[in-house]
Amino acid sequence: MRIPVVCAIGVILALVLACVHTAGRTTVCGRIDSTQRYQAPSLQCLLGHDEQGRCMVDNLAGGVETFLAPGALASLVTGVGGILGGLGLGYFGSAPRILSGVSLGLIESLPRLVILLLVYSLWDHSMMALGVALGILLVPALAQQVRVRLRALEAQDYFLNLRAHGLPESRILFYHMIWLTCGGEVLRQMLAAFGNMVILETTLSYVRHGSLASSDCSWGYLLQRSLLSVTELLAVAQHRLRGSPAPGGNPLAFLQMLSVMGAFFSVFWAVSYLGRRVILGYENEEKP
Amino acid sequence: MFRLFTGLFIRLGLAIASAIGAASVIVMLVFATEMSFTGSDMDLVGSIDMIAMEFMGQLRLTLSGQRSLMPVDTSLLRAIRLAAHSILLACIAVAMGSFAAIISVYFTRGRPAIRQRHWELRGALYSTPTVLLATLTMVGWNALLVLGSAVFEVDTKDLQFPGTSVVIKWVSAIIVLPLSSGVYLDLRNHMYEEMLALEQSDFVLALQANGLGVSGPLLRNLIGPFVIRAIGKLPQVLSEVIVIEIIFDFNGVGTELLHLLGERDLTALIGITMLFVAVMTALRGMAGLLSLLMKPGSSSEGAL
Repeated sequence: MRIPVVCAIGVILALVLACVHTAGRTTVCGRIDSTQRYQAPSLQCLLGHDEQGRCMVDNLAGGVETFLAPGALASLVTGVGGILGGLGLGYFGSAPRILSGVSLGLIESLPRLVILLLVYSLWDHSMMALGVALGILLVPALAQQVRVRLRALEAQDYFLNLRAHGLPESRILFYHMIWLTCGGEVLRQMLAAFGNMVILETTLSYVRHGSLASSDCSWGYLLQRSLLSVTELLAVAQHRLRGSPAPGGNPLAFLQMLSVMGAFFSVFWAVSYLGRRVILGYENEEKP
Repeated sequence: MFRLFTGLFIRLGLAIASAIGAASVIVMLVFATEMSFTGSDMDLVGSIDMIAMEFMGQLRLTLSGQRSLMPVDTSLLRAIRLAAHSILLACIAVAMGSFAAIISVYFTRGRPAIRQRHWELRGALYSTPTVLLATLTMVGWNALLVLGSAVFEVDTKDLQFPGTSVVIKWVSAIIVLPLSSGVYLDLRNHMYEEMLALEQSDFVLALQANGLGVSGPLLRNLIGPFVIRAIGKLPQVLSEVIVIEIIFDFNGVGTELLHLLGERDLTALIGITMLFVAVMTALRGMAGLLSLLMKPGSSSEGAL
């Protein structure tokens, strides 16, 4: 197996482990300890400490909880909705086709971020509701892909041949159409939905400065807070460069930002990369 | 010709139907939000009447050349003005991305190794969400200022990010947006592939065999799909603009939207979301109509 695949799977496993690690704890973030403020990485805490002396590894693990379940829900909604929409557009008769076309056109016309903000306010800042809304908003993209694939195979009389071989319609529908023909694309779009949920949760908790974040260790909130440490660090650098006495500041403060950015980037990269690999694997596989 | 007009008519009808449907969904959502905020009954017809009256009143006064007697600086009008800024920013970002894509294709023509590096860059940039890229831009700019102020011994406090300098915010937004939204790389890749396909097509080979120049025909065949794709990218960039405006503390529709949600200004919320739906539907419709008009065979000129 190639190294990037191992890394990507490792990142996904780390997310699951982080959730297991924080399960059952009363506070998901790290323990506040002012004596450990901006402390350097150590064996006990591999990524150092934040401005409140909390261990960054514990903070990042706690932040996973805010997007893991909503992300999984968004993926599920996108997958199910996309398959149904795609079948409506490319498999069933004219009435479902029109209905699917109008519904998907309607969803596509909605301004995504505005709707998500409204849903976030409407459902009392519920991340699960946000996950469902995001999943619905991503349905048209998958439905169109499913339709294109079904139409392409239909044009080559692929399904007609299967029917001529006497295969039951349910097997043609669920195995040949959904799993073999569209499985790769469905998995890719589901992973993309998860990645989008991570971005959305991080962006929302970043832009509202944590006021709407469901957790104190949401990654967006941590990223926004880490800007303070960088500002502090830049002030120290400015004084040192000018030769004036520098105020007290820890040169390792920037590690807080680096660790959040690294975690965020690696999760998004992992889901994008796995998505690309899945689709390549499907395309190279010979159809029965 | 009949088929062309039928296609145009159907697309226009579908776009209008989608816009009306989307607007209805938004109105319902906003009112549901309002109900959850206040827990009281709401006057749907009254609010929509208010928006319509405000629009029509302003339009009438503007057309008759009179000064407005109504308080112009209402939250709705303010939101619309800010939305216009955001749309302008999105248009400039797409234009910049398109320009960079054209320049990049021109200079990397016939160099597959560079193209391969672009593919890798594309993967890396796609893995960099707007919020990260914007944060990195802010930190990078402030670090440069610190270095500059130390070397040149000047006070750069006013230029710090996100500070008060609108020019720095606009420039940063115009650089970040085409990269984070994937506009530059998508357009670049699309144009490169279209160009490769055209260069190997029969009519270009025939022109070359006859010793004629191919740049003109190539450009004519490339520019249509390119413009359509660039316009099709605008709705996506518009969503990114909202995020960028909030992060860079821009005086734009993104910050206004958050403010309106906080203030629970129902009229302005409906107005602003309606405006977004209208703009996005118009852009999608424009891209669809252009693709229909520029499809080979829709005009008598043919491919050349």
